[in-house]
Amino acid sequence: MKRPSDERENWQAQREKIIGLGERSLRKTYYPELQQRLEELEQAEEALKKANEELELRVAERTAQLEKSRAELKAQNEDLLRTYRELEEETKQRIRAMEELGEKERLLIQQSRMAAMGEMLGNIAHQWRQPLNVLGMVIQQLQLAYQQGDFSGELLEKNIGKAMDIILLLSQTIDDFRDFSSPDKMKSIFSVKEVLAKTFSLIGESFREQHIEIRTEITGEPQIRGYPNEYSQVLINIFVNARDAFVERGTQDALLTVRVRTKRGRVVVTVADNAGGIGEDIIDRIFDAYFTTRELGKGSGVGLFMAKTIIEKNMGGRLTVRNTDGGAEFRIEV
Amino acid sequence: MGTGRDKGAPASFLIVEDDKDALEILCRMIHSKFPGIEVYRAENGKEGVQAFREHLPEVVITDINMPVMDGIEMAGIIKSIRPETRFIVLTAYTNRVYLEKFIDIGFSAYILKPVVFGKLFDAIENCLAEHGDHPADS
Repeated sequence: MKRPSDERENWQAQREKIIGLGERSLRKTYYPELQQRLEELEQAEEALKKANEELELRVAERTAQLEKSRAELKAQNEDLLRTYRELEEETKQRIRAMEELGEKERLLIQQSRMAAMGEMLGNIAHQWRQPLNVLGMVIQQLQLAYQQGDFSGELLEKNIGKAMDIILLLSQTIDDFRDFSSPDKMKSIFSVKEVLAKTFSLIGESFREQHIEIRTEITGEPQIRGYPNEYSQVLINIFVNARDAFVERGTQDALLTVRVRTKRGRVVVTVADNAGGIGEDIIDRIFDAYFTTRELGKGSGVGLFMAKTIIEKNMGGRLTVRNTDGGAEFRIEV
Repeated sequence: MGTGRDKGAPASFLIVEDDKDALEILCRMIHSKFPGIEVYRAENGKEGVQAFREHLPEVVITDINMPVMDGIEMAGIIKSIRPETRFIVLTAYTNRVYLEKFIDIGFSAYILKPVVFGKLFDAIENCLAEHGDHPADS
C-alpha cells in the first residue's frame, strides 16, 4: 500500500525531474522576485488610485468652475433681458411723449388760429361800423328827400350806387375772412404784396383807430412758395404785437414800417415799430410757447411761437427779432 | 349871447367827421332839414378847431375817433375858446370809454352810430331850443 507522504515526495520528485529545480531551490530563487513584483503592482495600483482621485478632484473643480460660469452667464443674461425690457419701456414712453408733443403742437396751432381769427373778427366789427353808418345814411336820405319833395331819379341812382359799393366792400371782407379761416392744403406760389394787402384789409382798422401809421416799402414783385394764409397769420401776429405795444406804451407818432425785398433768392420782410423795443431780459424768450408779458387772460403766449413754427418748420424760413434805435424789428425770411 | 357874432344872425353848425361820405350826407341832410342854419364842415379835430375859430358856430356835431386830433381833444380846445358851445357827439358803441371822457367836457346829446336821422334831428332841435334861436323848421 502507498502512503500520502510517499505520494508527495513522489510529486516533488517528478517536478524536480521536469523543471530541474528542487523544492528548496524553487523557494530560494523566485520568491523575492515575486515579492518585488507584487510590491510594484501594489505601488502602481496606489498611483493609479491617486491619479484617479486627482482626476475626480479636477473634474469636480472644473465642474464647479463651469457651474459658476454658467450661473454668471445666466445672471448676465437676466441683466441683459432686464435692460432690454427697460429700453422697450423707455421707447414706449418716448413714443408716447412724442405723440403728446405732436398733440400739443396741433392744439397750439389751433389756438393760435383761433386767436388770429378773434383778432380779425374784432377788427371787422370796427371796420364795418363806418360803412354801415354811411349805408344807413344813404338809405335814410332817400326817405327824407321824398318827405321834403327833393326826391329825384338822379338822387336814387346815386344813392343806390353808393349803397351797392358799400355792400360789395362788406361782402369782400367776409370773403377775405373766409379765405383766411380755411387752412392751406398745399404749398402754392403767392405774391407777398397781395397777402400784405389782404392782411391789412382784415386788421388795418384797429391801426387806424389807434392812429398808428403804416408805411410799406416794397421792392419788386416778390413771390414766395408756401402757405399764404399761414404767412398772413404770421404777419397778423407780428402786427398785433406791435399795435399792442404802441397802445400799452402810449407811443406818440406811432409808425409801423414794413419793408419787402428779395435778397439772395429769399424774400425778406421786416416789420419795424417805434414803440421802444423789447427788454433784453425777455428778448430771447418771446418765441417760447406760452410766454407772454400781458396780464392773465389777455395774451395767450402762442402768437409768436406759432409764427416761428409756421415760418421755420412749415416753410423752411427764418423768423428773428432784434432791437433797433426806436423799437423792435421782426425779420421774416423765406 | 356873447358869441362875437352879429346878434340875430341864424345859428351855425360845425360838423366834424373823418369819413367823407358820412360828412357829405350829414351836411346835406342837416342843411335840407334846417335850411336857415349855416353848416360848416371839417374832417378831423385839428381842422375842426380852425373852422371853429373862423366861424364860431353855436353847435358842434362831432365824431370821436378821428386821425390827427380826436373829438375829445378838439372839444377841450373849443370849450376853452367859448365855454357855452354845445356838442352833439356821434359815437359807436365801442367808443364808450372815450364817451366817458367827453362827459367831463360836457355834451348836449350823443347819437349812436349807425345814425338814425330822426334822433339826430331831435337832438339838434333841443340844442336850438336851449339856444333860444330856433329857426323855423322846414
